Amino acid sequence: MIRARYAMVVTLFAGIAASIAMNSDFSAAQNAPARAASGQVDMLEVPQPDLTGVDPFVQEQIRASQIALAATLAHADASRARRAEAFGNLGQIYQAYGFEDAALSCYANAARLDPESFRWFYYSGYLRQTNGDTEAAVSDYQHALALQPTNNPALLRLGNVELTLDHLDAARQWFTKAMAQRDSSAAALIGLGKVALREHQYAAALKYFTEALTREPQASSIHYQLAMTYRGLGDLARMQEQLQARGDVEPTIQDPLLDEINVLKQGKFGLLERAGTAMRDNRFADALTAYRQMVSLDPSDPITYKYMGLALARSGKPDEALKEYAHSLDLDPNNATVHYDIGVLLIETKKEAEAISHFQRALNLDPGLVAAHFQLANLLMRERKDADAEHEYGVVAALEPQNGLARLMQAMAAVHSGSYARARALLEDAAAAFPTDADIANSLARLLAAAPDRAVRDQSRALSIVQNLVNNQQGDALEVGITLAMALAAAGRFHEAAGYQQAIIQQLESSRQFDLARVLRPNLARYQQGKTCQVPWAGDDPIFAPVPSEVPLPVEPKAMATRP
Amino acid sequence: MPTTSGREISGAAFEFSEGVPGNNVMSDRISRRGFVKMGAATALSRGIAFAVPPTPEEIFSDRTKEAGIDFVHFNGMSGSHFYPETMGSGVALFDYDNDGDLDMFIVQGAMLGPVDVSKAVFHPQLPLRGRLYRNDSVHNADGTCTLKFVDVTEESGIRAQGYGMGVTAADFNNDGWVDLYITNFGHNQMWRNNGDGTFTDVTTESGTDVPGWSICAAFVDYDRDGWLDLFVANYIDFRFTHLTRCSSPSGAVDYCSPLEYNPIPNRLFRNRRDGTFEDVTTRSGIGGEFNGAMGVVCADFNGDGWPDIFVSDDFRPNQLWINQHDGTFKNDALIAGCALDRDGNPQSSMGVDAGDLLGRGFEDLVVPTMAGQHADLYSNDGKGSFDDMSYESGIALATRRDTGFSVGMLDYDNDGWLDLFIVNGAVRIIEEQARKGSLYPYAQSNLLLHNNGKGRFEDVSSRAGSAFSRLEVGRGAAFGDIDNDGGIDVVVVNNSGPARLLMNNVGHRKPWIGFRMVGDKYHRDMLGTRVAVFRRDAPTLWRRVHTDGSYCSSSDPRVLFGLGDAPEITKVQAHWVSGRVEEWTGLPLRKYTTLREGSGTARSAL
Repeated sequence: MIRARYAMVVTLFAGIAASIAMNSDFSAAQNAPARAASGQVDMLEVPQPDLTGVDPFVQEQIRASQIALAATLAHADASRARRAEAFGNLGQIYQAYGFEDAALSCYANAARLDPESFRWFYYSGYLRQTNGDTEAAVSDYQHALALQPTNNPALLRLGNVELTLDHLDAARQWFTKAMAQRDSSAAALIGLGKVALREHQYAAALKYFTEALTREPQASSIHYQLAMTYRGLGDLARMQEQLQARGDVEPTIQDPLLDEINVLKQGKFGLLERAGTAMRDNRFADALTAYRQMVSLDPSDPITYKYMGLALARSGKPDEALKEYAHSLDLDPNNATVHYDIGVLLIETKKEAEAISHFQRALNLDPGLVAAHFQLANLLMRERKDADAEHEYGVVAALEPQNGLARLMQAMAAVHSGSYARARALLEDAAAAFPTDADIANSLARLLAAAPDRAVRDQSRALSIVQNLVNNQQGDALEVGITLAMALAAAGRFHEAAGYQQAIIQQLESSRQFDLARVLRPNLARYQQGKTCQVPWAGDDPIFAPVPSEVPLPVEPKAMATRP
Repeated sequence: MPTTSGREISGAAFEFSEGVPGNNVMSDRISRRGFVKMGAATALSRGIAFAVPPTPEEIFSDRTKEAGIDFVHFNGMSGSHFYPETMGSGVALFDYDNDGDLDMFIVQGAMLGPVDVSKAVFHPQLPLRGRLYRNDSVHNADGTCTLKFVDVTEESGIRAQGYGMGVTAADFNNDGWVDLYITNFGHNQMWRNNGDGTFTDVTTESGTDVPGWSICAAFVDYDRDGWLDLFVANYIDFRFTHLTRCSSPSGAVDYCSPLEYNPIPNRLFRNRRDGTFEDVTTRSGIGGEFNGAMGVVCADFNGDGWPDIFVSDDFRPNQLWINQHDGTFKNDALIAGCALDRDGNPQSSMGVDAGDLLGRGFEDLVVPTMAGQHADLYSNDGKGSFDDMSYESGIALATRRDTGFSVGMLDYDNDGWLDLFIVNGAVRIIEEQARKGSLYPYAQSNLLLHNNGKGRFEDVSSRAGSAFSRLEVGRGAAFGDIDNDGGIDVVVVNNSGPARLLMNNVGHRKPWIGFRMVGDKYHRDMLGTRVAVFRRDAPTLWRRVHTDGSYCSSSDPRVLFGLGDAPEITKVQAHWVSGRVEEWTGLPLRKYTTLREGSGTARSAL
């Protein structure tokens, strides 16, 4: 089909480009620019990218654009602006697919032919900026801004390039101009904030970053700048707060020219990228459109159907999702992750027994699939198959020695089955391995304080552990408070235990959590009667019904070439 | 093969064009080339190594062949884009026979995946194994050095036949002989030096076997008990049974980004002082966070006298493990300001080096990264808090176009300021090379950045010698004074290319002083010791005894001080890992002196 379409394109331009001797490599199209140099404008030779292994659809797209350029150049009456456009269009295609040398040559030719056009300088500047050719990027952006002095993306990008060159005054100048534009964004404020931060003007930096965050609260990357500002101000507590809030969402720069490049990305990779972005933005319909286009390019790729299944599942269409997953398994019955995805979907649709079956099949295919072990363990715990759950958590702990949660849950499965001595041993090991894990420490303390099995209890140690947590304000305050009351009662300090329990209940009631407060009342009564608690966790404690985790969103496999 | 940038592709450069005496008039060079060729042939026919003196203009000269080093790295690639093939390898400079000069161990790759070696894209030198070269160089009466390295792998007993990545060298059992630990994609190996020119594989009995994929390792006495412990930097979970297929934007198959794989935990082993190690990864806290380590360097970053550990991580936040003095560590990198770049983004951090780059007595950090990012300079305030000074220093601008793997802080011209040597090699296809049909289009040239003493670094690569215009896929590098002339030399390992011995021609021109710092009870290099040289009317110089840093490699443990134009030393002070502080005076210039702990005048810490 590709060859047929290629032939059609050739035929279309055959008359126009008759003077160009085309071979299968389209080298003639590449050489054409040199011939165009016979006019008043010297042209750069555009290097022919190495298309070995490139997606055939992409090859076709590139060749079509090469032919279009050749045809334009062959046309004696083609204006310089039209020839520039043809070079620029080919440059955009090259840029879309990462052939940056070729793209830069095309943009250079386009700019020489049409020096009044903003876009070719801008694209060139952008490519040079991302390649680290910083000084050349400055020159390109300055050319671009001479043509469109108020172009916001160019102002912002040039400001950022000047920052990397340590030209703070120049950077400030460009960011200030960007701020003056009607479409100014948080990005300009952040730029000004960075300049201020570099100049150790922390109060000014704080003002800019705070304002930027107000304008664009979802831009979580600003928190890091705020953290560094607070460090400069000597406010380490606020610095820590900002570090905890930091993320990788950058402020938006509305950039229609770059959007044009992204739209050009066809082929499987481009579609996968587009679908992935749509999934992350919860635009599931757009994602499905892209996945369906991928199917039309390659109906035999089982992964595409898997992704479609996930998009449909996220769209609230479980039955359709299951059909796509089944299609994926028809093509590749040995894909453990598809069984895993199905298992998660079945949990969401309350078909937990079927879900268990899929997780088990996933694990038959890939015993190292840790997430499946964990999901299976959670389901088994919910089904009260405690011994099996304990085993599965143990497998997770063995596969991921750093997974403290798995160690904790393994012990809780033992608690659930009434094996308190084993639970204590597991928690002791976990506490030794994870000395700073407050949940493990709290669980151990609680078991030592309130295990029904006397031999398991150790009241003084329980109190010591939980006091340590309280003193260091570690762990969930409610859970630690409950344990503290248990440990005090176990130590015979019933009055204090009752006081703490009462205080917890009052706090819950004042925050209108009456159900939870009600759960704590029986123990309050026990403490008031001078009795210890002998049920460390109620049978319906949420810890015995762990919530299954979501399937992670599909992420297109990133190659080295796509690293920023 | 000239390129548009005027640089030359590896292997195509005329071998005798460098190091030829005389001026640079082309006609003169041509005739002298012929002379050198004849001279070399005559000398070789008599079995004499031919020494080519360097031109005065060249800072470093490639003298690999002359020295007898014929190592060519094999990466095992077969067209399948297996990730490990882009990563190796490294080299150790260490004195295994205690004869006072640096020998060399170079790490070799192997065939990757279920593929026969006959299917390799580049055919290897056989047998495939890491190689040990003994330094038998001769110091001539006229002050020159005739370099000579002899391959003694066979007689040493070292059989390093895994898929090698890196190596670190230190005397782990305090017997006075330097041992080797080799990191692999696969099981690591500990080779104990028997003191008679041979080594024994003690991996299993020492308890230091690490499966998976280790990039590099570092010996560090983290509990200050006088015995070296071992930190192993592990990378990602790459398995042939779980291959991820990645594409470039055009859909062509490419190497995956490290983010496509799960990182695996680093490991910390405590030395039990009986030839064995205890795995304390979990107990120490080190195992709790891991981000795909590429480099490690151990130093006292917060000035509390205890060794800390900095780990550079590929495309995930770096780690700064602060020693809590009780066998545990806490990762403070984010708060300390060295986890991310200035904009708050994780970088593709590769190797790392630490040293007093800004001349204030603190351990600053330099971390090279991938092209399009920039190497990071983290300036230490002495309390373990860092500022990213990459832009202000000029380092960011100089490094944005290249992918740096190794970095060494070395005062190549002995002016008293640590400069930077960065070994580059891409991980992303270089279009120009691909168009020309290169089967491995990742070659870049190395960088030499000169420290002007005012916080700025100037790229002097273009005048540093032909070694800096050659394009190769650089990875590991070790730094050390191979000919003991007071100039730091460099050995570079190129992925799928030859190792290069780059000899420093300029260091010896300025006054210098060097030390080997050994223990009181045990005659071994006391890694982690900080040495200060106090000068009259000039800033005090601080250096740290270390072999770690760079990438996959192990450097000269001796400390070398270039004295610049202020050679008058008032005292030399050592801050030993044990906490002891001692001073010496009247030590000789232009030579290495061994300073034994306990032999100086005791002083209280500053």
